[in-house]
Amino acid sequence: MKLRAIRNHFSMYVVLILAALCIISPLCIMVFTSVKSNADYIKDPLGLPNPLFIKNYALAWVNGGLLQNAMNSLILTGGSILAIIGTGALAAFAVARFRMVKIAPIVFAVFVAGLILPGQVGLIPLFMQMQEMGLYNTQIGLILIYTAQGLPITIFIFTKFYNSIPYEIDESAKIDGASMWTLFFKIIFPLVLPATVTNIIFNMIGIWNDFFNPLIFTSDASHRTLPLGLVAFKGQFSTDWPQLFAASTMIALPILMLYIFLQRFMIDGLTAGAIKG
Amino acid sequence: MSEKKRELLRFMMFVLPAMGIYSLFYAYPILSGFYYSFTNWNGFGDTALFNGLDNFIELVHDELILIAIKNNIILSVVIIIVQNALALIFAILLNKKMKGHTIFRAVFFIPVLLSTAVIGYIWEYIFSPLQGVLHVIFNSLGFTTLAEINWLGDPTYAIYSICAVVIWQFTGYSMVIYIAGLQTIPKDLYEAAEIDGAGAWHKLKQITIPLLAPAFTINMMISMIGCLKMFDQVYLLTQGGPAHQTEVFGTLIYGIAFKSQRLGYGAAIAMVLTIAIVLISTIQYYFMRKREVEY
Repeated sequence: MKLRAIRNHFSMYVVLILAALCIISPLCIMVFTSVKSNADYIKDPLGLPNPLFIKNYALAWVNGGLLQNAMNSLILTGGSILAIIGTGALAAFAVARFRMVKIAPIVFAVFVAGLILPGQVGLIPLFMQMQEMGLYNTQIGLILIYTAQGLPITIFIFTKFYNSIPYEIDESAKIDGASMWTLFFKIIFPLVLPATVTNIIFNMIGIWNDFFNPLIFTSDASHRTLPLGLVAFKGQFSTDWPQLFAASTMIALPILMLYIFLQRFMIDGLTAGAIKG
Repeated sequence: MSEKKRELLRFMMFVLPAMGIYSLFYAYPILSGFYYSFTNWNGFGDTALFNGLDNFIELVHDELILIAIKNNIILSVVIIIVQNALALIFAILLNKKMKGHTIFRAVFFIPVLLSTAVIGYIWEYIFSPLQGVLHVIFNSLGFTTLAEINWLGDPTYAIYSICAVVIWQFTGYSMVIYIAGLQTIPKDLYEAAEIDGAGAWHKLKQITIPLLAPAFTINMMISMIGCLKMFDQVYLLTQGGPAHQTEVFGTLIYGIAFKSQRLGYGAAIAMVLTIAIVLISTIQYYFMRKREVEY
């Protein structure tokens, strides 16, 4: 019996380790290739790097304009998160806590409809609209688009959390003379910190990694984000895989570092919409 | 002003910022997209003239649409089956409290966190016909015919290579949802089954699979919608080529609208895609919900 248990465990580990290798080896290939000199790489693409050629990172950083791209990514991600959480937390609070307002459920339904409506249909009109409003090729334009796209799921998750807080809290606060603003900022919003964290992570990963919206809604090199910059970089240096992978590694690194520290939060955050839905 | 009106006013102040941005940059463009799909709109300056069903008649005879339909179906079928099978196996293995299960879970989830731009280039490199990793490995193992295959450049294989990349990217995501589903199954059901003498296979078939139905529903819906909407992976790996053979709806709409500037026609294709997504996911939801059991 015991022998069988060990054998079962053994085969289980074999399956899992093989699978983990399949997942991780493409990333190892990226990192290994990124520290090879181009000459070394052409001689033996799969050989171990010898000696380490760290210079690729400096070259990629300069040639790829990564500093500018990283700044753009930071501004876009940060600005969008602020706007999404700021407006989303308020709207969800109103939907969940204004019991006297008859249209609150309708407003909620309108927001949540955004989860079902596919953005594709709106893409082309939005593109023209951005040009007409003078928001094409601007960061504020992209922030507004990200905010609009992020609000449905954000409001959905916030509302679920607000609804789990007993309404008696609101009643007693109001008896004590608190306004809705005080109630929101001092009492209710601090109580839904887990929802805030989930929403920040969910939106942050999506926006940081997004390549589609900057591709459509910007054209200047000075507005490129990290993923879009990588695509442009590839266009120029398509044969220099080591340098390209140095750039790729630098783009992946911030998220992976964050993942090491916030693993649980990040897994929960990214799947929350699916599971809690 | 009555108290009721003042309450409504306060409500509006909370809701307005979000509602304004959402309506202007999400809802309104979608609604006007429905309108533009009935026009011959060609972009800047030109006025959009209503042309009835012309776009939709053209669309039915468009050969590229047929290719896109075929590819979206291949993507959906292959990815849904393989990704969910793998994710389910990993979830069941990792749901046991064995040593290292959190490490495995963390590793499987890593690709979900990366930008598709990064993932696209890693795999383009792996698949590349000259110095690519697959080429080198197959060559050194002596499988010269396999080594000669141009995984992304040969229309027979390209769409399946894209499937492989997507499966690699998102199996960890489905797995986490299955693990969450497995953890909601009460332990005493298994204990009761063991007392009745049920083996591992029976427990899987009679308890795990039926009670996991909600997680199945979610995973199938997410993968299906993702496969129908797919753009990034195809754009980055093959650009719809070679010779339009890996074109999907996403890349087709992008090409027609932003390269050929035929915005009205692009909107019509987007509308067909939308209707397909809504129909398929509603049918899917209905059938999968029926399989879910109460306990």
